[in-house]
Amino acid sequence: MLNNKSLTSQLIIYLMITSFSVVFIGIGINIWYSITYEKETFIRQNSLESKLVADLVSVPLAFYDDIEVRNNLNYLNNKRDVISAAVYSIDKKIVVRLNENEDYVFNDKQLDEVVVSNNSFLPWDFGTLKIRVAIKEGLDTLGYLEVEVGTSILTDYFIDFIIKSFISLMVLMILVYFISLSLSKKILKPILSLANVAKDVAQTKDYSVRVSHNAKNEITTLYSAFNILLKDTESLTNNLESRVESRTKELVDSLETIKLTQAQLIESEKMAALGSLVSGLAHEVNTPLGNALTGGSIISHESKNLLNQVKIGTLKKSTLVDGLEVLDKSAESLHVSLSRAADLIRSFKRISIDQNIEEQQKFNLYEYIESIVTTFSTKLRRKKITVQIDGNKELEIKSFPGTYAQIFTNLIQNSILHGFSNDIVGAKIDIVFEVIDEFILLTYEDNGEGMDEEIKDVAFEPFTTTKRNAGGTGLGLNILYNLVSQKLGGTINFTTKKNSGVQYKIKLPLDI
Amino acid sequence: MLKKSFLLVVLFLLSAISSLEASPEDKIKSIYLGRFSMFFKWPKKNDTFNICIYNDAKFSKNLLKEYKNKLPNGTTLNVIGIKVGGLSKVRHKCHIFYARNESLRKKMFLLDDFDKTDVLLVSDEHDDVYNASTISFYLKNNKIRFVINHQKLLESGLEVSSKLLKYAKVVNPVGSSDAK
Repeated sequence: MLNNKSLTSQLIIYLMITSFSVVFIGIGINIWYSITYEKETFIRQNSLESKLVADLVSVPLAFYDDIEVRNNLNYLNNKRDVISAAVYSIDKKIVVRLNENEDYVFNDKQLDEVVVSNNSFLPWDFGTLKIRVAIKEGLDTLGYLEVEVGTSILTDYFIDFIIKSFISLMVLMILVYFISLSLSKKILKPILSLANVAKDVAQTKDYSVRVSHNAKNEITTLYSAFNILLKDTESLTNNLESRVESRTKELVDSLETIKLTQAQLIESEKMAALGSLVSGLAHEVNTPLGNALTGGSIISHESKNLLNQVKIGTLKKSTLVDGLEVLDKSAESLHVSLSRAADLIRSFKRISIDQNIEEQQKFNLYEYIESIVTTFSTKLRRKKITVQIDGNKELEIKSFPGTYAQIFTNLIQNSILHGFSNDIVGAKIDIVFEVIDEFILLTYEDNGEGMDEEIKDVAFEPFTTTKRNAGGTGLGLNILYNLVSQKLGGTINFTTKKNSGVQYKIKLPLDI
Repeated sequence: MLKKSFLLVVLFLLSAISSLEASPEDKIKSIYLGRFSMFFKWPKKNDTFNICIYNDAKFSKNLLKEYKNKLPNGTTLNVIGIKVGGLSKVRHKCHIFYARNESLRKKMFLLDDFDKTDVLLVSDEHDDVYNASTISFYLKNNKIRFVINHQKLLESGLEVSSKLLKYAKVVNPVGSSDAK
């Protein structure tokens, strides 16, 4: 609460609280000591007076002179605080009493000479003092004197002492206030002055200001430090704009370089994928073209043979029939091989075009995935990897087929390059898709080597690869992540365990 | 005649009974005698405190009855009744000698045996205190008081409480003691 107050107020308040506490405790101790002393003096004085009266009444009591006993007892009657007094004979019968209204009974239980009885809870009420003194002559007890004394004199003293103490306390606190005020002004002046300068500097941004302090103490150190701070700030401020401009340019250049590099890497990735596609295409087309070439050669050879025999007139019917059958089979084989090659080329063409031309199209998802897998058939066959596609074969979606192609290309390439880098018996890839509400849930799973723990957490970050030496760019999964999340508006996550493969779950909108 | 005789007998018996009881004045005096033992000191040491009553057997009996043989301080009280002429036999035992029904100053021969001895001489005649007794009882405002001859008290070798001197009337004061 005090933290929000000014330093001057805080100093005054703390000094006043401290002074008040010290003085209050001091006054409290003084009051306690004085009251205790006064109380003891009061008891002692009344005891002495009672003993004196007891001594005075001893002879009259011995000679049954009640009048003289009363005369001596009247000494107590003149005292302000005496409530009652009584003289008892040795057989505890009342002889003389002051204050006739009181019913005096000798209390055998109260045998103490001095008793202070107080039933009040008020600190200034000290109750009553009861004194019993034996009236003796030498060793002989003649009777008893009982005196009851009020303590109003102590109460008056106590109240008077409290009032005077309170007035003293107030005067002292006023004095402390003014001393605190004077001290705070003297001590805090340089600090407050420094605070004002700091405030002005903060408002005007004028860092050329300097402060000075004549004395050599902690304040001087503070002022020197403040001046150094101002000097440094001034220097920094003056160079700040040029430094910001320079740094901004550096950052822009770096960003451009990064963008360019990223674009080049993505392009490289694409080209690599395309290269892989072309390589696959060449390999796939090579077989049917070879068959077609063989068929063509047979047709050419058989045609020439038949033509020669016709020219020389040796052609027999059976020979013609056999030759035509060979021609027919070869032509058929040629047709099949060329058709296969044409199909392959169409498929490769479609995928390669789709990867470069991005337009929304309606396509059959099952067939499209199958086509993508086909482009990898040579590599898959070489690694003895079987691919299982499971899903609705009639499902048609409207989306970006090229993006789908790139997603599955990356996934299959990852499986071949990383998951099945070493030959595994029973290697397989399962691709499952199903429609749930307005989404397609694609599950891609291989039973390869899986990922290491350290790779798992950063798998979608760019340039993360374990095959950099083998040509890996580390952009595959990053591109995959961006395509799924940004291009298709879906989500992707994966689970993996070392030597237990990887399972990707991709959730994509059915239609974009 | 018979009735008259009966009344006379009753009156005689009543007077006889009343004559056995001490008068209030004598009762107070007997108490005072016992109390004097508290305020005086005798040089002689005895196991009993002896009060000698001269010429009043009835008073002696009542005194003994009053204290039941014990003084307030627990000392055994011995009351010695002295008949006329029997003084010399017991004089050395008396702590207090109280002459009843006699004026000591008129019978000074009685005092020959007590001169300068440690006996408190008590008389019922006020004026005896000037030349015969140490203490004398007297009446004032219907109250029994006593007067002390301080000079004679000192001469008899007794010590007295200053409080008693302040309380009582004192003649022939010694030192700072004032007569009351």
